[in-house]
Amino acid sequence: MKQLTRTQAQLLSLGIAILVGVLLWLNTQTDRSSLKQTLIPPAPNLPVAPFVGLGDAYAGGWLLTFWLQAQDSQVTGEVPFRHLNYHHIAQWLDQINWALPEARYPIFNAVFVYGAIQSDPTKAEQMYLQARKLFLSAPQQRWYDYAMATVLAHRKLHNMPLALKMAEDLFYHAPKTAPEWIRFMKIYLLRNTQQTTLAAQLAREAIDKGLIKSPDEAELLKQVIQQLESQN
Amino acid sequence: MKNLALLFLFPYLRLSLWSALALIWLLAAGIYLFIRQVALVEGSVASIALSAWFAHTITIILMIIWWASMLTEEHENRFDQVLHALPHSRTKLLIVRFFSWWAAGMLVALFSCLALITLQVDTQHAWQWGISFALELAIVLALVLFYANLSTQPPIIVLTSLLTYLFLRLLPYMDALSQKPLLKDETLQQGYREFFQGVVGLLPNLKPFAASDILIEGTSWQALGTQAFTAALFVLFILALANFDLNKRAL
Repeated sequence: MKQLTRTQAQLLSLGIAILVGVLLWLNTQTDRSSLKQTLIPPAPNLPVAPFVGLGDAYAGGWLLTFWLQAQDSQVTGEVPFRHLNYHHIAQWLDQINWALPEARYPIFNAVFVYGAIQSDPTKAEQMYLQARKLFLSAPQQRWYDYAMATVLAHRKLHNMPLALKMAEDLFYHAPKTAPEWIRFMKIYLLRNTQQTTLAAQLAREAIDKGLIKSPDEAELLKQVIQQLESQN
Repeated sequence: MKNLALLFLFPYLRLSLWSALALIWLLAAGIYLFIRQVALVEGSVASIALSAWFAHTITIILMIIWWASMLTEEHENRFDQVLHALPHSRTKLLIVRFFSWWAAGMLVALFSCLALITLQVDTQHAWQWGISFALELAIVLALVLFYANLSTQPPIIVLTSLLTYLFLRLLPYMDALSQKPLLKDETLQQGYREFFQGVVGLLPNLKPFAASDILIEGTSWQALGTQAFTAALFVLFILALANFDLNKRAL
């Protein structure tokens, strides 16, 4: 067998030392199943994505996303969502948002992953509020997920004040390229909660002020007004 | 001249270069397929950019190890003594060695570009990224050559080159952080701030080199020209230091 040169032996020793160091560090990590709220550490106040990505904030943002998603180990059911610290998750989502200001994954994670918790509505609401923050920082890219989140806040979370607040955000901040019914979601939400007078009033205002550009949408809204007025 | 040409071609005869290249591209392809398969990131551009980041990082580390091992093995085999017995100045030998090894780096950058173009990245963005990557490799190689003159221990050369590279890469962020009140002691904070302000003015900013932004959004040719100018200045400075040390050193 070929004998290693001194250089090869030294580099091999360095590699083995690094490997042993990593294995020892992994071994010091606490058993996840016994953890409660402290599983996800708090995010520092300074942006960490550039350091994680070794100077590339974009790559660092995605690596942080992977890391955050790996914390709950939902595939194995090792750590239920109720054991995760949602304050810390919100902090990390802010960090990811700093690195990926136009990506949809931060809002997607907030609503459809962490916001899907069923056992604790307070935690779910916290994630919807986080989604609100994320939407307002990039409405052009995130209106679609936020509109879905608004529907879920109403239908799944049954939190009407929150859903209405989110619908208002869509009215003021959704881009012109978004379908018009997205911007008038508040009318449909009010209709669904039997607040028909208010819904009809809003719909009429939208038509009278010429806020509806699409004739089809305007026609649909007129039908909604007729329907609401007949209910009144 | 024949000797210099042989010296230039010497690294390409070694299996380690080609096996390192094959390893990098196998890893990059594996990472890309994994990211795409499990849809870890949104859209193909993000998957490609992230795989390119992995390939770029692994390449930098492997190239540093490869260059450092070549240099120390030359010293160990007393090949450097044979080289210096040739009728060429040490400066000329250093320059030939630099361009010979940088050509290996450029080969990696070229393969990267071709792979990215195959993955349907915007051709101009891919070439800009590749050029930026090649320039970054020139800076890293200059660092390895510099540290190889200070030490003959490969782990020391590898670690110091890697740490300096990381320091240069993170320098703009450290500078930005120095503007924030990080330390309680005002004098220390002031010192920290002034240190980074001074260092940022002196050293090249590696942050924009081969960044994912170039791959996704592209960059201007003017910005790339600035990168080339910065890299050339830094490489000349570091090589001058290495050459000065090499000429002083008795073999």
